[in-house]
Amino acid sequence: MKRRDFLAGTAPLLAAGVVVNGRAVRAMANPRGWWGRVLSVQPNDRVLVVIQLEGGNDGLNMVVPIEDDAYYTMRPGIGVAKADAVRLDNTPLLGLNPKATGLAAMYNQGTLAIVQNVGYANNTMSHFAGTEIWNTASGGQQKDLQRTGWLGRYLHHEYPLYPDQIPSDPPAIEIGAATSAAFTIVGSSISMSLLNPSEFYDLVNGGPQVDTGAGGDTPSGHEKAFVDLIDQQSRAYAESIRRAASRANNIAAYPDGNVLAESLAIVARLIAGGLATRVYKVTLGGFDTHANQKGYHDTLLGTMSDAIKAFAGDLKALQVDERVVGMTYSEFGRRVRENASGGTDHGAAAPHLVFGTAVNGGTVFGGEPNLVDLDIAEEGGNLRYQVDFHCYYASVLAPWFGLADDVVRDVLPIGVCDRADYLNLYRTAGIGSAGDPAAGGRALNVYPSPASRSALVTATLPRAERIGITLFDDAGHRLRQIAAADAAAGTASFRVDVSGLPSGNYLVTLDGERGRLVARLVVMH
Amino acid sequence: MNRRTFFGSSLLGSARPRANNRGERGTPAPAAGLAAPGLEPYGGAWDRTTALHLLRRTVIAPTRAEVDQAVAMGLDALVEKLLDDTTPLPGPSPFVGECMNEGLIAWDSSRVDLSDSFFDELRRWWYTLMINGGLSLRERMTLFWHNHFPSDLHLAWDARHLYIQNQLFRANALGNFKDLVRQVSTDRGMLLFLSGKYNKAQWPNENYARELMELFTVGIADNNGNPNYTQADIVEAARALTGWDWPGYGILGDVASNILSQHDIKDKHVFGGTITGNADGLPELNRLLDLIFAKEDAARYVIRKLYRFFVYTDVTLTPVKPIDPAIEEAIVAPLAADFRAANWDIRVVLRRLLKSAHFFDAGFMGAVIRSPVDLLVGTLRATAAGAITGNMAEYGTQIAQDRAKRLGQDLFAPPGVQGWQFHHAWISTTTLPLRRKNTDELVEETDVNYIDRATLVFNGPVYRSGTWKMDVLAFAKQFPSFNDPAALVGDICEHLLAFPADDSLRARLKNVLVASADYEWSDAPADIQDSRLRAMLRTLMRTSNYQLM
Repeated sequence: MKRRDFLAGTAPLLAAGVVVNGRAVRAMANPRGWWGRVLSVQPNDRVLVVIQLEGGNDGLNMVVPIEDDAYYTMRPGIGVAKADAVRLDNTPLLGLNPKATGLAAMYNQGTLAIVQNVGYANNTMSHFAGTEIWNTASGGQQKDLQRTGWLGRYLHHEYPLYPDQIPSDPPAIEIGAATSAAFTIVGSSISMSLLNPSEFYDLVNGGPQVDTGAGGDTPSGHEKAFVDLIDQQSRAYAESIRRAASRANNIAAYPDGNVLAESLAIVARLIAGGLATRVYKVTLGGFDTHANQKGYHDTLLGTMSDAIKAFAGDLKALQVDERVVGMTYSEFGRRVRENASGGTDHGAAAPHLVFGTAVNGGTVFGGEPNLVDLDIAEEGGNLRYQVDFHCYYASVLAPWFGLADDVVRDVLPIGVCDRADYLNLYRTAGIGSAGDPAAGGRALNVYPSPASRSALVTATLPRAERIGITLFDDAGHRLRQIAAADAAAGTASFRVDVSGLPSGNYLVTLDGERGRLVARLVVMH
Repeated sequence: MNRRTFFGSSLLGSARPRANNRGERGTPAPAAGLAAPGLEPYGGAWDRTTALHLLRRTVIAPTRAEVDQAVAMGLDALVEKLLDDTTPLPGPSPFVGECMNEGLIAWDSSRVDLSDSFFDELRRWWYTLMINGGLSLRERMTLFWHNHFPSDLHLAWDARHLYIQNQLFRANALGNFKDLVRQVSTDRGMLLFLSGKYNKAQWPNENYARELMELFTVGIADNNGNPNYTQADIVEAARALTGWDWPGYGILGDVASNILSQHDIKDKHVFGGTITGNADGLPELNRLLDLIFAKEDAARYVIRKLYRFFVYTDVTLTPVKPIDPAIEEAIVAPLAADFRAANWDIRVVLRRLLKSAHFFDAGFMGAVIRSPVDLLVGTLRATAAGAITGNMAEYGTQIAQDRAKRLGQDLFAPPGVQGWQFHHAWISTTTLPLRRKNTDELVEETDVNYIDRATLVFNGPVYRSGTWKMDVLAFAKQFPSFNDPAALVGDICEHLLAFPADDSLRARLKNVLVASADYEWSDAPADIQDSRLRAMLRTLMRTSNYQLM
């Protein structure tokens, strides 16, 4: 077997997030270099766009159960009439809100999937706690509260040296003035906020920059360090954002006066401009429809639908659509029975949307909403969840970025959902990972990583094999051979001393008769 | 120490579990004692450093004269002055006053222009009160209550509702918490904002009842994560709150009253207690509040919030998350006991906290991230040589309210029922460069243009414009060290920076003021001194230190 072939054959083994000096490898310019050969046969330039619907979206008036009498019984005033709903191909029981024509078109084209009844056990009907739970992927009980954001945990896995090393391109961008809890890591956030990419550089560089030294290990020292970190981020990202924004322009037309469309247009432009940002988040607010919902909520859904449709069209025109997937979330759905004020109160499970060229669209996941067997039925009733939102998250994230099971468990420790339970949201298989069948049961793990003194390299081999295990630095220099052995079937472990290595990213490779496996090792002192 | 261990390390002794990137569990670790001192009275030195710390957290960045006054007064007398609630409430600005007397004009959507200008005017009025508020905690506490009981101008049909609500907060800023909750529960701005107006016997609306418990009194769970109420409690409480309404849309005539035909007269059961059905809603509201205030967290929840507002917000971002267990035990619990014993007098809590050794611990000085209001009002206050009045008050407050809005703190338009997030939420890659631009604007001459429709007889917009100009020379000449550039920079740093400047920063700032011999500064003509001072203040305000208070 020629080297090139076996590299190509093992390419899917490479977990997506190899990081070089805090910078994702996919962003490296030279695919013919050593890292390119080893790592980027399938560069991971995939992007996730998360759309938060703030206030608790009324899912039943977005994805309408048009054949369900219970729906019309409980919503005599604000229900969407069957005749008004937009019909979906091969989906007789559901219709979309009349204003959601763009979403319906995408569904019928096969680029939008609906995930019904997404929620969690012990649902809180609080905006605040609900938002927190969704952002941090906590559980409904206080004991399952997570202190960091779910996307923060994922991105910290991809950028383990952050914030000690800030990459040139931001790992995540939130369009708006603030960052949300979804991206928190301990003590800071891994995302940046951005309002106007064209003005950002000038704003950052609009006056003297003053470095003022470190704070101490006190509360005030920590807060000083926090402000300094944001300062460093804005300086580090200013140039790459200016470059990306100047390289591409939106091609498709976006609707005027549509706040979500304005945000998504920025996202499309930055993606097409080559920014190596993995996750974007945009927000549409106003979904807390306690009163006088009819008309108002429809308009809001129209805003969302028009914006997503325009965004999808723009991505296609910019020829980046195949590497972008979008998803929605909201702190809760709303009560099934309408209230006396012509609105709906805080509820529980709700449908969410996943869209993109790669998406297994035109499909409904998660079953029909059950409007008969309701939670708190005497108070108007909440839909019981059928898809745990942690599983919704895992199904979007893990295949898309090629995450191994242990990484998924780190990112989503509550409500664990096995790979077998993932919703089949993508047309094509995701990026391979060490847990993939393609690896033929062979695996290479390094623990711990980050390591400071030594790390244990464990090879799992279904059959006896002659292997060599080698340590490389991030420039591709072969540093040392860790082992060369005729290994028996089973697992074999080798300790590698890293105490003399500078902090940074390293690779451990296993070369054997059946191909190469690669694992990442981070050294941090 | 690298930054990771730095962020992850314990803030207050060893109470915080070791951080990792996999997400700590929310359950607090067992308390391992408080590294900072506790609530015992502060017995250390009373000097500019301690006076500045107390004033920054209470009056929002003091003037030079206020610091002198505070140092001379001593801690006890100063705290009593800050908590003094006997001065009469400020009246409205002339235009707002005129609007309040306006009974005949229907305030509806066709008057939206007038409503917008009303709010702009209202904000300028409030900012002026904050800037010229003297040694009083009243305005910053009014801000605290506006955040604790948020109402959004977009849901108040009549803009005047929020003026009335704002004065309610001001009148009770340093008053009785339980009484304030009672008044807020029937306040018309709140009845609109949280659907109380729609809460009828036949069709209860649980919006206000939920937030009353979750955000205004007990919180969703105690510090150990045990729920403080159930959905059934909310439903029953909502029934007890039915029927509060007032005729028409306007503000005149009766205040909100309970309307018999809309009030649910059956018995309700909350927290295992009974609210006896009554034809009048007021006894039921009182009974409901008695039941709520019997719960331990009715005292603790708001004290945790006060703690975060006045002392420090640890790395956990939101009130949903527990406070450091050591703080809960050593600070929150005793203050809660005081609070209950004092029958909910907020001053008792503030007096003990603001005079405690804990409050004056050096680690907390400069540990609060300034909100946009703290930053902008603080900049205007701290650099003023006296009261800011006339056109400069108009222009300065117009800039402040406009920039605070862009930085995420639009007064009368909080982002949601949970209020503003504070702390880390204020600083992002978007807002940090903007904050620097905004302090540049306050230090340099800045043109102000705005549309003023402050006339009841709407004759079209009036375009107003002028130029804001900080009087930097008057500010700097307050310092006896004025002619000695290094000493002047040191004094100004002490005055303006809660997180102290190190030697290299002071040297750099002195170099901006005068790069050559010292006499080049003292002999320079006033216009040169003026421009050097502006350049130095701009640079000083662009430091990370300046974002802290």
